Amino acid sequence: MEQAVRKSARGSATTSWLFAGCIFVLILLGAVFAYWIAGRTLETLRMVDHTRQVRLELEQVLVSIVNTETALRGFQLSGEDGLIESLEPNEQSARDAVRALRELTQKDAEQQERLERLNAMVEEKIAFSHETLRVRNEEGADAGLALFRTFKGERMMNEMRTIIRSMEDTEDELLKVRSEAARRASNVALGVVTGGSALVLILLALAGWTMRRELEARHHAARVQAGARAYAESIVDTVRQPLLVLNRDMRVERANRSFYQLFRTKPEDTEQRLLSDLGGGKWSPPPIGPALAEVLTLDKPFDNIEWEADLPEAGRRVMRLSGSKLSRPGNPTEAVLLAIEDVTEQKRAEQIHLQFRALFESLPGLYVVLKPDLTIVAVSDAYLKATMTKRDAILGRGLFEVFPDNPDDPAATGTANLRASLNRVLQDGKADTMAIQKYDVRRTDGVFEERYWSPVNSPVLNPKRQVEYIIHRVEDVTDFVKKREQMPGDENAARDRMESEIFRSTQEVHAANQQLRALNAELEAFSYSVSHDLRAPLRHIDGFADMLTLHSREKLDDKGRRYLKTISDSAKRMGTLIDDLLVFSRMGRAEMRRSQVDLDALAREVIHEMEGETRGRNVVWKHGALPMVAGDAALLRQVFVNLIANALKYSRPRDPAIIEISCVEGPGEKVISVRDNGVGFDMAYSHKLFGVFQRLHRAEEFEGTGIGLANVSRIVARHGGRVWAEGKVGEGASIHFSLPAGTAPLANASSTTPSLS
Amino acid sequence: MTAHVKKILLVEDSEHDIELTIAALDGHHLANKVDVARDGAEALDYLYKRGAFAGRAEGPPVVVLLDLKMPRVDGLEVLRQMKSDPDLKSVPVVMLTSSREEQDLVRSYELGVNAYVVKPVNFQQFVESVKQLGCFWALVNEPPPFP
Repeated sequence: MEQAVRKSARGSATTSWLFAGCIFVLILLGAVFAYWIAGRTLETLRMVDHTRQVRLELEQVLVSIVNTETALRGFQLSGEDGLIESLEPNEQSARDAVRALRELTQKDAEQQERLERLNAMVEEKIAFSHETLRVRNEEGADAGLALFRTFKGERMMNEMRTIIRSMEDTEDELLKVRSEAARRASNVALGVVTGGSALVLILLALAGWTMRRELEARHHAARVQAGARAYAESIVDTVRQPLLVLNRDMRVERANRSFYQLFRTKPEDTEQRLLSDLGGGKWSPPPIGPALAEVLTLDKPFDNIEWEADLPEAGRRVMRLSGSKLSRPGNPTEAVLLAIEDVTEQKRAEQIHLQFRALFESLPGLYVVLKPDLTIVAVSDAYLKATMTKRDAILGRGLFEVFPDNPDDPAATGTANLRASLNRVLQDGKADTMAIQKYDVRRTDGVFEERYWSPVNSPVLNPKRQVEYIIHRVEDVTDFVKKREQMPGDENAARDRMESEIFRSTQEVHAANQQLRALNAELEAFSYSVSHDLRAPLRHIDGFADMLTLHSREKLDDKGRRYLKTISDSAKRMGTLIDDLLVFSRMGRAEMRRSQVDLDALAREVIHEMEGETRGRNVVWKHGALPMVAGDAALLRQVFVNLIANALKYSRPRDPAIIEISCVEGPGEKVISVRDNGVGFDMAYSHKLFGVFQRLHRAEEFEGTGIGLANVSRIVARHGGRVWAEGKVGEGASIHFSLPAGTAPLANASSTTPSLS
Repeated sequence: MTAHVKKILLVEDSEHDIELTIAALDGHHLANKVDVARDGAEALDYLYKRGAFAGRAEGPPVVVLLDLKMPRVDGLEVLRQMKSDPDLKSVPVVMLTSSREEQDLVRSYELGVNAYVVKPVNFQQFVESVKQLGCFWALVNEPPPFP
């Protein structure tokens, strides 16, 4: 944009020069022309004068000759000598005039020729005068008078008058011609001057217009520049990094909004202030003084000079300062742009990071943190010590690159087992505890040392529940083995046997675990298949039976319709059974979400939800205080739903139905009981109560599939508790379940693999 | 309203289920608006107007009722392809399946399914579900505008 402005300015400058040149040339031409015209005018004037002189001299000639004639005639008549005396001067005067005329008509051959004739006539007249005088003097007055009367003098006079008139005419003619030329020339001059002036005026007008345009362009450019400046300033203000513009004297020319925000100061306390005066003098001496000087003198920028200061408004800050010379088009003064980066938080985070790292590294346990690609990112000192490695030597390297199998032990399975375990962690996002492993470590001299380890691999999940890191924790159990080696010799054999037994059995457990995992996966596929494939034909049976009923209502008799209804009902019932079975199966497989569960609140909630079923019935609730337990809230809720629903169902014939929920805290366990005064059951069959689809009543009496208590049993088992029932036919039933006191370890999912047999 | 020329695409491999579904939709006179694809591959051919459906004139269906487990290309794959195609991703897809498995639900919703309906074994309930589905998607819901 600026370039365009400059370009147009350059263009208009060229135009101005062109105009000035034109005007100059025109004025010069005018001057030359005026000079020429003046010359011409002067010449004309001189010509006029010349003509006048010529005429004057011609007059003089005539007058002088007439005078001589007059004097002569007077003398002839009077004879007075006094008259003769004026003869001589007049003749002289006539001759002088002729001489003058010769001078004047020098350049005119025609006039010269006439003049010579006049001259001759003058001389002839003079000579005749003198002849007349001589005759009078010698022969007497009459002879002279006779000569005089010949009128010869008279003729000569007329002759002269003719010549003089023709000369006068010629001069007049000449004057006329020259005057005409002069007039014409002056006309041309007038035209030229008028035209020239007009041209000059036009040019001036054009120049004026151009200049106006140029001025407008400049104004526009100035406006554009102002706009650009405002734009640049708005950018500078938006930049999140605090910025200062300093002039040569290290005074602040400008600071951006981020600066004011960071330093909690105002423009009036900043602009035009010396850098060293800012922040209550905390910038004094400027931490970057020499660097700033070099920016200006050597045009050498600097980057990230760290500065820690306790600022009055902003507190203790760590900043990184960068500076560079600011080149500003149109502003010749030098300036420095000082960029400030507040790295206080970053520094703090780094410090915390370092602290945590130090904390981690000094943990007493043996820990390695791995990335999902199994490279080592962190390791505890204890681990380094146990594996005889150095941190620098293993960080960033692959776990198995650092810790290979002992090449001298062909039976070594350490890496294979560890790799399998880590893969499980990566795949499932769950911790994996490994059996004791023999995994020899390499000493610095390259020799492998026999070691036994008990490893646990746990995932660190990111918010998307993907594995971000794996924490590999091991316990070195070699010492345990070594100590036993120091036992007396006769026990060695037994000890060796025992040790190998332990090792073998851990390996077996390991293998069994693998098998269980495979079975679990298979089971999942099976339930999926049941869910999808088994339900479809049932739906078809029910659907087509229904449609057949609709379609053939008239053709069927009651019996036929009943058959169809049975088909339909059976299909529906099987559908319900399958659904229940799937819920049951899921109950065993679902992941436990452990937390502190308020059983009291849970039971009240469930009772509240059952209101629909108790409407119109007389139910007396006896609600004892229930404890807080550790467990899965959703699963424990299911226990109460099943037990309370059962109690309500089997006490339906009672009025009032009495349902009592209570808890007894025994040694190491809490026993919760749900008791009802319903139809009860025969204790002889109590063992069947908790089986899948086991029922002690006919479906016509009490609805249900017989899965409820099986679910209860499974859930309680997963919480590490047990369940049992007491009852008597016609007197009611009590279902009890226990939960371990405190936060006892909860049973692992895989330990209660459901069986569908 | 363009709904009357639009079709419901039922993607279902089971002959019986097709018959039952159409019977259910018949209650609302929607049965004649149902086009059927017998597996995922056919459904994709239908949607992209290729193969056996190369000459199909109508635009995308108002709704796709999609079974999960099918030979060749399964429902999740059809859903994935539809939802990653800018032209098809606004076509409503309803999973109509026997599976109540959490993994199927999660996966379907992750892929952007518009609804997930488990086919009940009980035929009356099934009829009710399908009726409501058809009614909602083909009559009540305003489909996205297609060129």
